[in-house]
Amino acid sequence: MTAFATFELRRITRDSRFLFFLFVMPAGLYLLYSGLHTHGLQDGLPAAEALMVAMISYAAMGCAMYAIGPELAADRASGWIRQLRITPLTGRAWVAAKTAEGALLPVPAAALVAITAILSHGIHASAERWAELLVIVVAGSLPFGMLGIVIGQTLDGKAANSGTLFCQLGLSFVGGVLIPAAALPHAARTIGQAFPSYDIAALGRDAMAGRGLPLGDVLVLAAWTLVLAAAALALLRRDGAST
Amino acid sequence: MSVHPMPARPAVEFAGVTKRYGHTQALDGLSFRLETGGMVALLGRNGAGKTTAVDVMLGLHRPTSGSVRILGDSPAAAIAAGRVGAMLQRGGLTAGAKVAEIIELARRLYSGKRELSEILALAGLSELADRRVERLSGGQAQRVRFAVAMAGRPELLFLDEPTVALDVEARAQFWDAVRGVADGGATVVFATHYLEEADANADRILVLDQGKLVADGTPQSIKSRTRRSIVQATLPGIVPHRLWELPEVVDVIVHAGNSIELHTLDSDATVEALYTRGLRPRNLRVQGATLEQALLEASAA
Repeated sequence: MTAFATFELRRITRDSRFLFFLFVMPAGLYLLYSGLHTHGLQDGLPAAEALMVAMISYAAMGCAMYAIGPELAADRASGWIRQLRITPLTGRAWVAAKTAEGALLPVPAAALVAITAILSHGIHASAERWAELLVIVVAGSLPFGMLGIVIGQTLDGKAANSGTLFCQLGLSFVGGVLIPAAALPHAARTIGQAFPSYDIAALGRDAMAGRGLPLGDVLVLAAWTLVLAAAALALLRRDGAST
Repeated sequence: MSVHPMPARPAVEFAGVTKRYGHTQALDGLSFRLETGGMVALLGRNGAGKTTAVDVMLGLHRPTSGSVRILGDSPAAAIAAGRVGAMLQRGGLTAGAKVAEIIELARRLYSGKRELSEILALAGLSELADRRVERLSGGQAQRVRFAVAMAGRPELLFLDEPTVALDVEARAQFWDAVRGVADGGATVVFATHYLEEADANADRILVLDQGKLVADGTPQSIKSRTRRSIVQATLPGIVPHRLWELPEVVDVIVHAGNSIELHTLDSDATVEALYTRGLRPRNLRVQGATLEQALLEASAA
C-alpha cells in the first residue's frame, strides 16, 4: 500500500494545475481578501485569523476532492483501475492509500496559507493551537476525500471535473468559507451548518480561539465521514463485483 | 533449462461457464482445461467471447453460472498472491508518471520478485525509463503494459489482443519476448483474431464462436479438420458454370484479371479434371486448408 500511496502522491504533485489552484491560490486569496477587510471580529476571532482558517478549510477541502475525484474518473477511463485490479493491490489497500492521500495533501497547502498569514499579519498562536488546527485539517478533509471517491466513481471525464468544482464552490459558499457566514442570508446560514465545510471551518476557528471543540460539530463531521465513506465503498464494491 | 515436476493442478479450468449480459449470451457453457506450461491461443472473431473469457479468468467478471479455477485457486486468490500477470485490451496507464515509476510500482506490488533493470530490459524499455507516460507512442505504451504484466515473474500470463497497436517488427520482438517467458516455465494464454498469430505462436488453440468452444487442438489438427484445399490459377475466358462442373468443387471465386479460386474437397481430382477437360490453367497453385477456413467451417457446423 505504501508503494502505491507514494506513487500517487508523486504523480499528483507533478500536476502544475493542481499545485497552482490548491496550493498557491488559497494563499493568494488570503492576501487578496485580507487586504480588503481585516477589521473587527468574526466568530470571536480577529478577522485576519478567521480568514486564515477559512482559506485553510478551502485548501483542505479542495486538495482532498481534487486529488481523488477527477483522477479516479480519468483512471477509470484510461483502464488504469482495471490494470490495478489484476495486480496484488487489494481494493482495501487502494482505498487506504487514497484516504491517506486525501488526508495528507491538505497539510502543505494549509501550511502555505498559515505561513502567508503569519508573515503578512503577524498571527501568533501557541504550538498547541497550531497542532489542534493541524488535526482538524487532517480529520476534516476525510469526508471530502470520500466525496472525491464518490464523484470519481459516478462521473466521467469532464463531468467529474465540473462536479468537483461545483462541490468545492458550493460547499465552500454554503459553509461560510468563501464568504463569512454572517454575510449569508439567514436561511443559507442555517442550512449551511449541516454541511461538513461549515464544520471544518467552525472547528478550525474554535481551535485558533483556544476554546473547546463543540461535540455537536465534531459529531456532524464524523457522521458525514461515515456516510460518504459508506457510499464510496458501496460504489467501489459494485464496480468490483461487476455485472 | 530447468526441469521441474509437472504439478497436478491445471493452469486454467473452466467448467460450464456461462456469462450473460442482459440479452446477450457472451459465454455459453464453456468447459476446458489448460495444463501448465506452453502457449495457448483463444481464437475467434471479434465478439466471439475471447475478452469475456479472459475477464472471467482474471476475476474481473463473475460468471453467471459455472466455475473458474486458475492455478488451482479462485481468480481473486491467485491474483492476490501475485501469481498472475495480464495485458488487457482495455487496460491502460495513468498520466503524470514516468515509465520507471510505473514499473517500479508494479515490481513492488509483486513483492520485488524481479529487478527493475531486468524488467525494463525484458520489455525493451531501458532507454525510455525516464519518459513520461503521456509522451509514449502506442507501441511504447504497449511495452510498458507488458512490463507491468511481467513484473512479478507470473506463473500465468494473459495477453488479450496484445499486438494490435504494433508494427511488424515490434510484433516479432514481442513474440520473442513472450516465448522467452513460456520457456521459463510460465503458462501463456493469449486471445487473438489474427489467425497467423495463433498458428505461429500457440501449441494449442481453442476456437471460440458466439461464446462456445467450437474447436480445440494443435494448430495442425485444427487445420486438418477441413479437407478443403484451394486451387488457384489464371484461366482466361472461362465461364463460371464450367468451373462448378469440376469434380469435388464446393466453391468458385472469380477474381479480376482472369484469376480463379476453386475450393475443393479433393484438389488432385479437380486439377486432373482441369487438364483433361482442355482448360489450360496457368500459374497453378494448390494451397492446404487455412485456419480461416477451419474457423468458418467449425462455426457454420
